[in-house]
Amino acid sequence: MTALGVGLVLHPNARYIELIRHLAPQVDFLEVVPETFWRERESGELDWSPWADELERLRDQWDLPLVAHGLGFSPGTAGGAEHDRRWLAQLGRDCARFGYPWYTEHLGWSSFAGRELFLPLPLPPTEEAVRKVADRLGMIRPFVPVVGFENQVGYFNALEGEREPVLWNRICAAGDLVMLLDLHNAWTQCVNFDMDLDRYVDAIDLARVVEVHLSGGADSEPGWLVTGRTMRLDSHDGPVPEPVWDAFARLRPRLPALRGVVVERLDDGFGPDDARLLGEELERARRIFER
Amino acid sequence: MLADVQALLVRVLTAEDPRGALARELASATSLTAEERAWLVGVDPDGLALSSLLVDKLRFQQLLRGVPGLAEEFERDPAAVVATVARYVREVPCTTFFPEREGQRFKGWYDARHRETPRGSQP
Repeated sequence: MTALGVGLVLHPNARYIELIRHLAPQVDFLEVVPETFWRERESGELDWSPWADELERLRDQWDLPLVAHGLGFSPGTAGGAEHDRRWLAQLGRDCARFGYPWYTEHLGWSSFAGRELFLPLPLPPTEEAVRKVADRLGMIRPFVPVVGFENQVGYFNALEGEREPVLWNRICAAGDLVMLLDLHNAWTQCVNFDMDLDRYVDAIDLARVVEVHLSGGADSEPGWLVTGRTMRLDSHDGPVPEPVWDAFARLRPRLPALRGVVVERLDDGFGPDDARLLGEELERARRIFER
Repeated sequence: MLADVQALLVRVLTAEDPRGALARELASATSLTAEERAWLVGVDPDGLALSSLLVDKLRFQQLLRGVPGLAEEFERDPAAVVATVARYVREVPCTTFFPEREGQRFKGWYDARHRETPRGSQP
């Protein structure tokens, strides 16, 4: 698997696409959440929405490969055979059409027994959970040769210290999976649970990391929680914080399998100033990536 | 079993009071392993409440994307839209990842309620 370089996320949003169009020459690949280009029919079967044609057109026009970062498969979900059948059928078609070199999912679970919660939720550190994620991500491997997961923010996760990265290492080893290391997620988890970021990321099996995500976020409002406590959010709506840049610069020489780095921004509320900042952040990410 | 943990957390995260709901669930749960129970006992209560809020927020955003005109209506009259969506969320669990499909279900629910209510009143 060859290195791609620096990428940005392509959202199915006409305004966002117009705002980032000028950044296409600055990047080496585009990352997509495949299912945001799908739709669900009344029968429950999945197929492409009209946005998939636009994605194909932009990929060809900009001559950029696509990398997949799924959101809705929910790899940690127990059960759900019918969901899996429909999801994997469409994912297989999608992978054949777009030829992703690797595919990552958000770790955790966001649906159960047909109920959608949308938020990737933490898993208990049990052998059953490790096997569940490894086996379910293994179901994607027939369509994409390289499959993995992204470390998550678990707002109520109680795993202290390095127990969480150790859980990721167990999952990687159980399924021969790669890792997308989201450094903002790691930093957010450390801020919220008073952990040391260096120790936290140093506990990861860094040889498994093929992709890095850099993003920003915000703090929750004091009025949201009855205790008045604020927590850092993985909201992808702000500049990449300096501790996240520092962590990337420090780790870069120790990531031998790194194939790409993506600067992530959500499309909601994305404006011209965000596009300008994103351009600067892509350049900064490249300087570190190419060291 | 993992399925028991997830079923429990779905009930807790969609409850009015997630912290109280978790305490009640833990008091009555009999199928959890010792490891799962210890993990749930150690859950951060603020993080649990925040996750519950985020689940609601993400569903609301999904509806804004999936229901034509709802985002504009929210700009005009946020209180009315929030009240309507809150009623919908209480009555109809979300069973789709896709905003367009959720929008169709919302429209079906809205139209059905509108037919049941007196002329001119809001569902």
